[in-house]
Amino acid sequence: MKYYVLRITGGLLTIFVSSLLVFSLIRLIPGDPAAELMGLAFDPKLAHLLRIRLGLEGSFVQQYIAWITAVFHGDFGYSFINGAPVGQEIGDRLIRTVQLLVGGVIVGLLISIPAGIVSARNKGKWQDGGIMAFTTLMLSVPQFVLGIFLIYIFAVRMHVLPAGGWIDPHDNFVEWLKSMVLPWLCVGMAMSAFTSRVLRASILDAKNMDYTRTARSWGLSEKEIAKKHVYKNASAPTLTVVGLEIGYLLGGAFVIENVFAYPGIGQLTVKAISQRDYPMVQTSILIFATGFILVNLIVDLAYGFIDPRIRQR
Amino acid sequence: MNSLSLVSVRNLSVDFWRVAGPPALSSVSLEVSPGEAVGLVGESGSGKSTLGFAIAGLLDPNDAQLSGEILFKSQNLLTTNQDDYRKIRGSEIGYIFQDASSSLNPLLKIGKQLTHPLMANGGMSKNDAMVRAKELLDMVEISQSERRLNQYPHEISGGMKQRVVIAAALSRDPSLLIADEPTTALDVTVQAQIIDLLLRLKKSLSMSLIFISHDLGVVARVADRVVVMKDGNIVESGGVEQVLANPKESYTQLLLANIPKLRHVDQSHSLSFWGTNER
Repeated sequence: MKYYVLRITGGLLTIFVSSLLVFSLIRLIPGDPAAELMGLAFDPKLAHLLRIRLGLEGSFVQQYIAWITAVFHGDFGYSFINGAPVGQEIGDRLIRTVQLLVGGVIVGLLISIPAGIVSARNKGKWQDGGIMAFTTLMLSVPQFVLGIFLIYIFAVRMHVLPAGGWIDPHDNFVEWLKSMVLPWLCVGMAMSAFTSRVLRASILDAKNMDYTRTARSWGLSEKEIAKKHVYKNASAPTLTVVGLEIGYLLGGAFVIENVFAYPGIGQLTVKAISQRDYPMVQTSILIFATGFILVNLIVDLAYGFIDPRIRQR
Repeated sequence: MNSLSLVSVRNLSVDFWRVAGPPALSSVSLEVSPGEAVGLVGESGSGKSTLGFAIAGLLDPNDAQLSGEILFKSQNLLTTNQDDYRKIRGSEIGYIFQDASSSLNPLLKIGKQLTHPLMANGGMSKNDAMVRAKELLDMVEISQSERRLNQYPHEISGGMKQRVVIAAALSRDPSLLIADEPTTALDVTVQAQIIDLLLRLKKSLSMSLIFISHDLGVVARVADRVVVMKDGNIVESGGVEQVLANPKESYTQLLLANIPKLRHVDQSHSLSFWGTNER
């Protein structure tokens, strides 16, 4: 119980700190949003008025308190660029990014779980060698290169899948699915590399543990040992890595969404940073931080579910 | 050899592929009669645990090369296929390991783990196994056995864990129990309790016992016969009084001389090394 309370408090604290960080960092980047907006028509007097209107006057602390209070009331502010409510824009894109990541993680698990099990079971044989070579390749190729490669093969050469973009599944489900395949593959393959290696190592570890030897002395077959002991015990460290990988993928969303021209929150953030659209950047980073912490929280809870020693702490 | 032996090891050699140097066991022979308790003694690396593992078939053929014969009830286990060997191990040979705290899976409840050996190879149904698991905990004198079934290994003491391991090892009424340093990781008082328990169970279940230890005091209490090992060879063997009171080999003399010095300091407390006082 204490364990969960600590985790949740820690998570909330992290969200707070990250909100503070992004709020100050974006203001430290050289460039004045007012000047950015006015462009060639820059006029110091008007710029001052504009800054007041954008809420950029006043001390840093005042600005932060004004912003965070509004956030607590569900008001994320208005875009500097087009005046649209930030919450609305980000909400729409958040759904798409979640589609991308959830699908990608599922693909990743579908690849890494069988890959890890097969290579552990055939340790030292050609299956193991092949899978390990593949994961090494996946680990060393940056995600955007993999994305471009996939686009080149499936969109440019074979013309079977779209090179990018996103289609609303309510309009055309099949087209939506087709547009998701490459981004999902890109996310999934990148994620599977490390996960399957950790799973393989964890299975081999668990196979060499004393309790496995005990089970062997009881006359259990290797199959029963795997089912009753090895997989359960190997899942705990793997789960931790999956959590970390998902966190890493949240950052990777910026890259993948840009490669596939995918209208998600990552693409929006990149654009917003270059436009000095403070409310947009602050909110989306806050969303990413919250997502990261949520994922880790879920992993911690699941970990406690697997391991009684953690649950009872 | 005598045909009455339960276990008869003949010229057994074990060589680990990945370990350079002399084999772990070189041409070792050992007889264990039904109901007999044999103490295997020697320093670490003498091969005593390897011999225990070899008899129980717990050496991975990918790691170790075995040659010679291990006859169990006149069946040569080394020519038996892995599956049948596994079944013999499951039903006839119980094994107790040195470190009770790592012998049990930390993620599974005691009750559940105790059902594993009972249910292995299509033995018992889940419900029957659970009932039997409770009986086994009673047999090894664990209090509140009903509650223990639902506890995890980290929730009980080290001595209790070793009792659980003993219960699991004895769950299928084996004719041979191999105890590999079963008390080394335990407190002295708990050690004595576990030894007492083992001796009582051995008598009531009329099994043979191979007791592996470097603690000559404990071996003297437990064993009928002692086998002294060094560097993968048997250097001396015989009745427990004969070997321990009158060692012929210099190595055995050395082992005896290295029993903790406390005995020389205060003779009246020497009994603590021999387990509890016989009452």
